[in-house]
Amino acid sequence: MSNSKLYKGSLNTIILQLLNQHDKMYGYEITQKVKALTKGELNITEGALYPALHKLEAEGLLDVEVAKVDNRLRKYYKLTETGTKETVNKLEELAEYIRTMQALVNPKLA
Amino acid sequence: MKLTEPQIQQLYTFTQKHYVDWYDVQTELVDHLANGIETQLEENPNLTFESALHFEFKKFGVIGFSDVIEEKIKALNKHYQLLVWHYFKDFFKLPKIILTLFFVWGYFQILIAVPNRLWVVGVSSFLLFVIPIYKIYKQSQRIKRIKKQTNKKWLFDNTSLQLGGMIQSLNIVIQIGFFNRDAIWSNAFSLSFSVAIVLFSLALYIAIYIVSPKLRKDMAKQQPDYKFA
Repeated sequence: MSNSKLYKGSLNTIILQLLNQHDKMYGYEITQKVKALTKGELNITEGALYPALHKLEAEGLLDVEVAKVDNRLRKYYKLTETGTKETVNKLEELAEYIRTMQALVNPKLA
Repeated sequence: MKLTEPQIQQLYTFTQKHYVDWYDVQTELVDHLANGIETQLEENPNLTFESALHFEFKKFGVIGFSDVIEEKIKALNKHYQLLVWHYFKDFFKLPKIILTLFFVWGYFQILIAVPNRLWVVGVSSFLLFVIPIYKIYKQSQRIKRIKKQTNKKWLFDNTSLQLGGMIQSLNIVIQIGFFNRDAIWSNAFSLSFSVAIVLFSLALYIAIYIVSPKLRKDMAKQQPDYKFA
C-alpha cells in the first residue's frame, strides 16, 4: 500500500465491496483486482489480506467454497446475507468518513 | 503457463517447511503462491520456478506465514465461541428456558436434600471433567487416524479439539470439587452455585455435542478433501 496506515482501516470495506460486486473471489484475485482498479496505487499485502478474510469469515460475513481449479484447490469467498447488509453499513460509514475528512482538509469542497 | 502437479506438491512441502502444518491453511497459501508464480513466469519466461517462489514468499513479509496462521487460529476460535454463544442463548428462550430452569431447580433440590453436600459437588465436578476429557480423547484418536490415513491435519479439527479455547475452563472443574468445602452454604449460595454449574455444563454440552459436530459437517461440505471419519 502506498500509505498503509491510511488504508488499513478500510481494508474490510474494500474486501466486502469487491465481493458485493462479484459473485465470488479468491485471495490472489482480490489483490490483483484492487491493484488494477487503483492503477497500482493500492497494493494489499498478503500478510494483511488473509487475516482480514479469515476474520470476516469467522464473523459470519463471508461464506467459503473450495473448488478444484486446474490441478489445485482454490478457496473462494462470497458474501453471506449478513455480509451483504454489513457492506451497506460499512460503505455508509466510509462515505461519512470521507465527507468529514473533506470538511476538515478542504472546507471549500465540502 | 500453469504449474504442474509436482510443482504444486513442492509448494505444499514449502508451506510445511515454513511451519504451516494444517492442510486447510496450506491449500489457500499454495493457491496464492501458485497464482503469483504463474503470473511471474508469464511475464518473464526465463525466470526459474524457485526464484519466482522466493519472490512470492517475500511478499508475506519477514515473518513469513506466521501472522496468517496466528490470525487464522484466532479467527477460528472466535468463530467457535460465537457458535457456542449462539446456541447458548437458545437455552434462555422459550421453550428451552424451561429445561434450563428445571436443571437449576433439580440441582438445587439435590444439593439441599443430600446431607453430605461434598458428594453432590464431587460427583458433578468429576462428571464435568471426565466426560469432556473422554470426548476429547476420542476426537484426538480420530484426528490421529485421519493423519495416518491421509497424511493431512486440519486446523478446524484442532479448534474443535481445543473447544475453541474453552478447554482451559476444565481447570475450573478441578477447583469446583474443593470449592468452599468446609463452610455452611446458605440456600441463596446453593442456588447461585446451582445456576453456575448448570450454565457451565450447558456451555460444555453445546461445545462438545453441538458445535464441534457442526464444524466438522461444515468442513466436510466446504472442503472436498476432508475425511469425515
